[in-house]
Amino acid sequence: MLEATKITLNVTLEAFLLTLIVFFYLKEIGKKELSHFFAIGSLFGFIGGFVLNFSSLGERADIKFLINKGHLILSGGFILLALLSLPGREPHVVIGLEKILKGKKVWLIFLSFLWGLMLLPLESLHLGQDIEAIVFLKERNLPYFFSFLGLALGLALGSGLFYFFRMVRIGRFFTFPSLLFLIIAIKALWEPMIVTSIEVIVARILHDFVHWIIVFLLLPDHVYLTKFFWNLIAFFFQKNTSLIMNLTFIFSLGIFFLVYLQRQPFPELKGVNRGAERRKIWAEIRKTRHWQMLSILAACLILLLVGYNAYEKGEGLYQPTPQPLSVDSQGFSEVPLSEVSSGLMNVYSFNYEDKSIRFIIIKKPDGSFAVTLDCCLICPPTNPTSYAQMGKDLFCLYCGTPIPISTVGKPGGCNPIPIPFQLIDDSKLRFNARQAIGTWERANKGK
Amino acid sequence: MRKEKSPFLEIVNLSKFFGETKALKKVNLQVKKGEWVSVMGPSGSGKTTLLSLIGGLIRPTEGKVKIDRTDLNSLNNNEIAHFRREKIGLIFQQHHLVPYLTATENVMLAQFLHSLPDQAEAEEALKRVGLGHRLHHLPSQLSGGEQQRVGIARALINSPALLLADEPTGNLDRENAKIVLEIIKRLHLEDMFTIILVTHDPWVAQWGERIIRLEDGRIIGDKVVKERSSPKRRTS
Repeated sequence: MLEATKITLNVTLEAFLLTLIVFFYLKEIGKKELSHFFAIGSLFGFIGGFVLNFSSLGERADIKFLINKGHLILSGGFILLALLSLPGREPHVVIGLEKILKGKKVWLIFLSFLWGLMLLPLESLHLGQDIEAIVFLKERNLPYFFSFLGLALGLALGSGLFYFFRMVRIGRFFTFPSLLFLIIAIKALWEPMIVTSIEVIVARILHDFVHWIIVFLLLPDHVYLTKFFWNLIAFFFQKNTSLIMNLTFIFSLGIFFLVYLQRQPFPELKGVNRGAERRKIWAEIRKTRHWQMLSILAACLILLLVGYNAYEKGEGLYQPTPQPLSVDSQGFSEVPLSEVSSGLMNVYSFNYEDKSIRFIIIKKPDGSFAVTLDCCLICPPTNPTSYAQMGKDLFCLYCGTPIPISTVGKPGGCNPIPIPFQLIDDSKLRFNARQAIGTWERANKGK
Repeated sequence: MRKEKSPFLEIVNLSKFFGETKALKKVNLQVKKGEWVSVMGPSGSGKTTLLSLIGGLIRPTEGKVKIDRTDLNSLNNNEIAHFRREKIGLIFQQHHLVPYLTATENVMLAQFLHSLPDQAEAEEALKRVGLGHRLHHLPSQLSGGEQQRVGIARALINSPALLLADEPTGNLDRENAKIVLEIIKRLHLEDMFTIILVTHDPWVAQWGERIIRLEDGRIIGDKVVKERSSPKRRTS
C-alpha cells in the first residue's frame, strides 16, 4: 500500500518541480503576469486531473484519448508559451499574451483556465497511472488513503521547495533554452520512456513525410524505396541506435546552448563610463551565465544517467522472442488464455510448407483479447518481430508508429492486421493459422 | 541647519603596537574626498604602519579607520580583502610586478582579481602612463621608472576611490621621480581619487595639497600647502 503513497508523492513532486522552476524563471525575468498565468493554470490542471480521475466524470470523459494526446498537447503548450514569452525576454518589452494579461484579472483567470485545460491530459495521465498502479486498492476495496497520503506529503515537500527556490532565486540560473532543456531532463528522469519515445516522434515524421511524397508524386507504393532502403532507415531506428542518436541529438542541443551562452557578447552598458564599473557588471553577467551553464550541465548529466539506464535495462521496450505455434491438421491453433493474460504482447511463429508467418496475441486493458498478424498493411515485416511493446503502446519497429494497445484488433493503417478468433470455454483462444497465410502474403506483396 | 559632509577617510585614536614597540600612538586624522595628502617623516616614524592600517593590511591595536563611512574594524578578513579590491589602489616602493607577465598582463591580473580582464582597457591604462610602446615588455625589460608606471596603471585600473602610495619614487632618480609624480598628478586631476602618499623626501611631499608630519608614532604637523585642485577632463 505504501507503493501507492510513493507513486503519488513522486508525481506530485514532479508537478511541483516543473511548475515552480518555470514560475520562478518567469518572475525572475520580470514577467509577473505570465508567472501568475502559469501558476494558476498549472493549479487548475492539477486539480482538474485529480477530479477527473477520482470522480465519475473521468469515466464519461474520453480520458484515454486525453492521455494519448497528453504529451503532444503539453509540448504544444510549452511551445506556445515559449513563442508568447520569448520575444518579450526583456522586462520592459510587453507583447503578446503578457500584454493581454496586464492589469486584466478576468482575462488572467480565463486564460489560466484554458492553460489548465491544456495541462489536464498530462495531470490525468499521471494521476491515472497512479490509479492503475494501485489497482489492488480498488480490487480489495481499500480506501484511497495511501494515495492521498502521498499527495499530502508531496504538497508539503513542494511547499518546502517553493520557499527554497524563492530563497536561492532559482530563476536566475536559467535562460529560456536551458529552462526547456532542464524540463526535458526532469521529464526523462521521471519517465525514462520519454527518451526512447522521442524516436517515435522522429520516426512518425519521417514515415508521414515519405508517404506524403509518395501520395503527392503519385508514386506506386514502395517501388523506388526498396527493401534495402527501408532497412537502412530501420537501422537508424533500432532500439539502441536510435537511443544513442536521440541522446546525441539532445546533448548536441546542450552543447549548442553552452557555446551560445559562452559566446554571447556582453551588453554595451551606455552611461557607464568607468571601465572597472563596466567590468564588474560584466563579471556579474558572466557569473550568472556560469550558473545558467550549470543548469544545462545538470540536465545533460540527468539525461546521461537516464540514457545509460535505458540502454542497460532496455527500459520501455519489450520485444519477445517468437514461440512456435502448435497447429492441428485443419490448420487451427488453440492457445490457453493463462499463457497470454499478462498484458504483455505474445508472439508466435508458424511454419507451413516453405512459408513462415507470425502472430501477436495480447490481453487489452479492458480485459478483452486480440489476435493479429505481426505485420500491417503498410510496412514490411522486420525480424525477429515487427512490433515491440512500450508501456501501453505497441509500436512498429519499421516506421516507429505507436499503436495504443486498446486499438489493437481493429483493422486498417498501421495497426497489426487482425485475425478472427473464438474464445473456447473462457479458457483458450482458437483461430485458423493456416488460413492467415494468404493474408500475410497479400500484406507483404511488393514490400 | 546644513549637515556637514562626513570626511572620506576618518582615523580615530589609532594605535598599533608590535610587542613593546609602539609604532603608532593615538593618531587622529580626517581626509576629504579627492584630497592629496602627503605623509612625511623620518624612518621609523610610523608612516608605513599608518598606510598599512588604512589599507586594512594589518589590524589596529586600538582605534578605528573609517573609509567612505565603512569602519574597517567591522569587516572580517574576507570583507576587508573585498573592500580593498573595490576601493583601494596600492603603489609600493618595490613595484611587485609579476616577473613572467608582460606589462599589459600585469595590469590585466589586477582586472582579473577585481572582475574580469579587458586587454583593450589595460593597454589604454598603460598608454595613459606613457607606456604605449612597452605594452608587451616583461618587467625585466623595463627601467625602474617604467616599472613604477606599470605599478601605477595596475593600482588605478579598477578606479579606486583611494590611492595609497608608499615611497613610490624611493627607488627612482629625480628625473624619473618627476615623471611618475606628474603622471599621478594628472590622473588625480582627471579622476579625483583621494591620495595618501608616504615619503621621507620633502620634495616629493610638496606635490601634495596637504602635508602631515609624523614622528615617533604621532602627528606633529598638519599643513595645507596648496589649494585643492579642480578636476580636469580626461584627454586621450
